[in-house]
Amino acid sequence: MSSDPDEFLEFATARSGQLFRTAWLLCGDWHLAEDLVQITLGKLYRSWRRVRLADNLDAYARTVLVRSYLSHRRLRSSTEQPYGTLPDTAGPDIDPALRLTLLKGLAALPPKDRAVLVLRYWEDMSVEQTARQMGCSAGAVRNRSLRALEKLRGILGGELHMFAAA
Amino acid sequence: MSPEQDPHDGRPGAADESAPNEIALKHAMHAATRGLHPPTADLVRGGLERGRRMRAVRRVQIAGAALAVAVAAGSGALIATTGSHASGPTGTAHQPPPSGRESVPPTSPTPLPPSAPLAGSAAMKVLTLLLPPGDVTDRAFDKQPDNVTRSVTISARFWPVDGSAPGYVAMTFGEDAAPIPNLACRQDAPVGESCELRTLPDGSRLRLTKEYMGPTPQGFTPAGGEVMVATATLARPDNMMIYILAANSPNPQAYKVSPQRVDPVLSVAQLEAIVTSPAWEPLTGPGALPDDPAGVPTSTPSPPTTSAPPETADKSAGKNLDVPTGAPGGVASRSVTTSPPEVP
Repeated sequence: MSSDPDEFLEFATARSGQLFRTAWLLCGDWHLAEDLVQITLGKLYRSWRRVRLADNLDAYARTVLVRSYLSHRRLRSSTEQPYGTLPDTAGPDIDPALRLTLLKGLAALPPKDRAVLVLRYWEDMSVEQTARQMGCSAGAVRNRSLRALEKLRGILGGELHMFAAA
Repeated sequence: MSPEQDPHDGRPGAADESAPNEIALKHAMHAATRGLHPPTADLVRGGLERGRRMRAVRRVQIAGAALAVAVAAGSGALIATTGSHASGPTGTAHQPPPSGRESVPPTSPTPLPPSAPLAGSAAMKVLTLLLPPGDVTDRAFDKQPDNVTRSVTISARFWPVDGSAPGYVAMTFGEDAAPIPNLACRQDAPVGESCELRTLPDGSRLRLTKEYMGPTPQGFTPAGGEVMVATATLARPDNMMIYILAANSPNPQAYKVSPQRVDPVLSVAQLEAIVTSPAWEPLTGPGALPDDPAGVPTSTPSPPTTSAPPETADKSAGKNLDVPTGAPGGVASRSVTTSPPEVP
């Protein structure tokens, strides 16, 4: 509520971490991921009086995030490659080289293909759920998923399976 | 993985080939994000700040959209609304309205049914009924509420029945985020301008102004003369704001077209009657606002739509209503009619 943001703050604090991870997988850039999450939270806050009534607030927030990402990709230069270093806060739990390998592989995919893979395999969403999130048909999701997986396999080769043991 | 989750429909055997990749990718994504430490405090603080700015922009836009549109010099937008008549009638005699005109019979307003959508087409019908006798041409209106401001903007050219020169009329209404905006009058109003502020019995605040427009960043009325506009702003206790503007120029590209009348085509009293009319209630009352693309009601949002031309009664209105930065009210550039829902 505009006069009482406590409820919004509670939601934002609880969910911003997951939104950030999703954003980071989508865009591959730490700072852009921050920006996307803040944009998402801003949009939620702007209409919080109605948003808070949503059946599935998490799903709605995720949809706002994915569409913000796709909108951002449409607007920015196609030559922009933000993949580079990660801040120290990225954590030491995994080999940074493997992490960058994955990001570079995802970066080679069209934004919608990336979004499909992130929603399907990071968010563990079904084809139908992914289709609803992205505003496209289930068939389109299936096709994109297949194409993206094949392309990713071509890019990463055996490196993809190194993550399984990480 | 269930059949519905299989991304390889239509390719027998492909799923089996790629299943290890799917599993590996799932592992890879979870492994890659393991150990990430999102800056939660910064995210929340930044999100809250952005949200507050978005709300502020919405408030400003609702109040200033129509006014800004009217002086959107060089925006080429709204502008398209009357573009085909930019060098149109120059005399004060009543010119034959272009085809597509709609005569306004002197009839009493007929409220639309409560289920009428908050869309420009319905709003235009109400405005047409509320206008005094005359002709309405060059109508332009939002097909659906603006996704940022949750407001609707409509505009038209009005030809008084007395044969005097036409003038431009624009109107915006929508839900404001603040209970009652801080309507105020300038203390240093130039000679010839006026401003009146009243509180109505129902608690609404009403501001009536008559003022000169410009100059715009692009220059002001090079053909001579100044554009005078009359405005009425009604801020209701239910957060609904209704704003109307009438100019003494038939074209919002005021810097290109000289005013053809001394006074705006509608008086302040007529504008007051329009904004306070109960005929707006079905469009602006409780529950009348549809769920905008950024607000979401009960489930996941509908997909974004592709750009579509505005629903117009006049094909010349099929362009954006751009509001340039620097326009009155400090409204940032926006597209009213053809932007797809911003997000989700």
